[in-house]
Amino acid sequence: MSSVGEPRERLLVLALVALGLLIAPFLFEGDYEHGLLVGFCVNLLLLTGLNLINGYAGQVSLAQAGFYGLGAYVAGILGARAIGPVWLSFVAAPLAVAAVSVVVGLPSLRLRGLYFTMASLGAGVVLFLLFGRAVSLTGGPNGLLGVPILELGPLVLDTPTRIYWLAAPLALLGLAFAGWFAASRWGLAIRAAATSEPAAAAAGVPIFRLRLLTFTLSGAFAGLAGALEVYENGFVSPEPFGFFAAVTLLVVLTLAGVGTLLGPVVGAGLLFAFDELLADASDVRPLIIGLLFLITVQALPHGLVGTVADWRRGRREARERR
Amino acid sequence: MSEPLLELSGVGKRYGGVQVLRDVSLRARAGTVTALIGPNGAGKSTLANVASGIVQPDAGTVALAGRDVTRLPTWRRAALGLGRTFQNLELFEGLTVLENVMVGAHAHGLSRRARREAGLAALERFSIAHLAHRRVESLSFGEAKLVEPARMLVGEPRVAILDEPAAGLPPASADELAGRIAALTASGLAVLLIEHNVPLVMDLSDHVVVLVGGAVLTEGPPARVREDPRVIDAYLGVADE
Repeated sequence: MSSVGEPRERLLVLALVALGLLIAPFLFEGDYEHGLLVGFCVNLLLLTGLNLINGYAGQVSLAQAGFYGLGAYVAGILGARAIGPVWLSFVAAPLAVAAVSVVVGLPSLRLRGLYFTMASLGAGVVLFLLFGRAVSLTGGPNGLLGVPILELGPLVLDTPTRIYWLAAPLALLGLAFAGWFAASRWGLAIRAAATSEPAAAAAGVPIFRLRLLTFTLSGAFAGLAGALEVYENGFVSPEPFGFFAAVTLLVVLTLAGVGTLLGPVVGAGLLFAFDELLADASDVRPLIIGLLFLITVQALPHGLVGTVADWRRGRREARERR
Repeated sequence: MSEPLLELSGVGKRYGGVQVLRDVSLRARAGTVTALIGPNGAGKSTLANVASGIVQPDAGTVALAGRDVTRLPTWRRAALGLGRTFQNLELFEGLTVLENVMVGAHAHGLSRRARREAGLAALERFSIAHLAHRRVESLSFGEAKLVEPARMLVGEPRVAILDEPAAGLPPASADELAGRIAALTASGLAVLLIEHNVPLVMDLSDHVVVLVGGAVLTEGPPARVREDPRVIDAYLGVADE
């Protein structure tokens, strides 16, 4: 079930998110808080990308955390080894992950349903293992050291606050692009194919190609998120990109509402809230996410955003019938 | 007589030990209705799936306007002008009626506005424009049944395969449907009609093909097919009971 809303609604959502991103650093002050806000933008990019393939294309991917890690390592290694200017990382990371997405997607997107999910999980796990084992390249379990400070021309982004002012517009642009894509001819076709493959094919939709395109875009989002993350942290190790991260992304997106423009925003907000509220209780975080997920799938199967949208639509249709 | 727009030649298909289609040949010509009738399990829908590329035949060829499309995927055939509807409704749930219909124009690569206008025009044609912004899952069966042909028409097909379009419709709606099919045909479309509603088939068709047990039992003009004792024995007799 996916929905893109009218162009006016999409603009309103984007305007509100822009406003929120603009005032957030003044509401939550301090380096730690601004670091969390960068995390919000990173998660927004990750979830926006995941929403393309999961929400709109209806293909549940568990590769996003691995792709996120790949983006972080590509950007981190380019920076640490001073290969090219730093800004190149922000181009190379999404491109590299997009290329790997094509390689993963070519065989796996021919599989259906759960089989695709399992194949994507396999890709994520292989990447995760590589991060830990390709020691000469990644630093292995100890992590990659020597990631430089982010400098873009004369701009030195050496504090979380400064990085935030790069991350926020990128996240907003990513969200705007995803909204445009979902409403485009390709987006409509991919949403259609998610509910009936034979009818979509009979309507002239090249399903496999469009799914590959969507999966590739989804990967590029993860790559960009990874690049931001590594320059925010100045360090990268394999831990944040494992199975638990893949499941958390999936759960949070489902909780917030898949296949809606606002879903990733609410999802990133939930992760921000968990980080803020559970900063001293990271052990119970998985437990709380799990419980919230159980409650959501039982009570709100379309997620928070989907449920509100269903309710509004129900009221409108009831009005129209009168 | 015009050249066939859709031509199936010597089509065979086997599922495991069951021969579903055996050496079936069939033509659909511009501006005519070719009906495919036969008892349940005769292989009619499998033949429609072979024609549209959803099922690959083990033997035989499918040609569209003289071009061999046997190895082409469904979406490429659609882009070449083959449209179809499905026996069991295949609508895009979660999408509005207008969005469902706009997907039909995918292959034409039009602007959003042009696709929207084409979609609304097709909905007008089926008198369901007032439902444009409703989600398809909120429609009644009769309303939903009209969305598929509207979606097909937006693709501007040259050949239309209609798989049991009248199934489940009340008699008045079936009559209305017959009028619409006649109008489509008059506009030059080659229609392949799969249908159990025998009076509707006999009224509309120019040519009837009877499929029994995966093979063509007989074919010809409706008046002759209706009188054929083998057809009465294998199919019509049952249908009239």
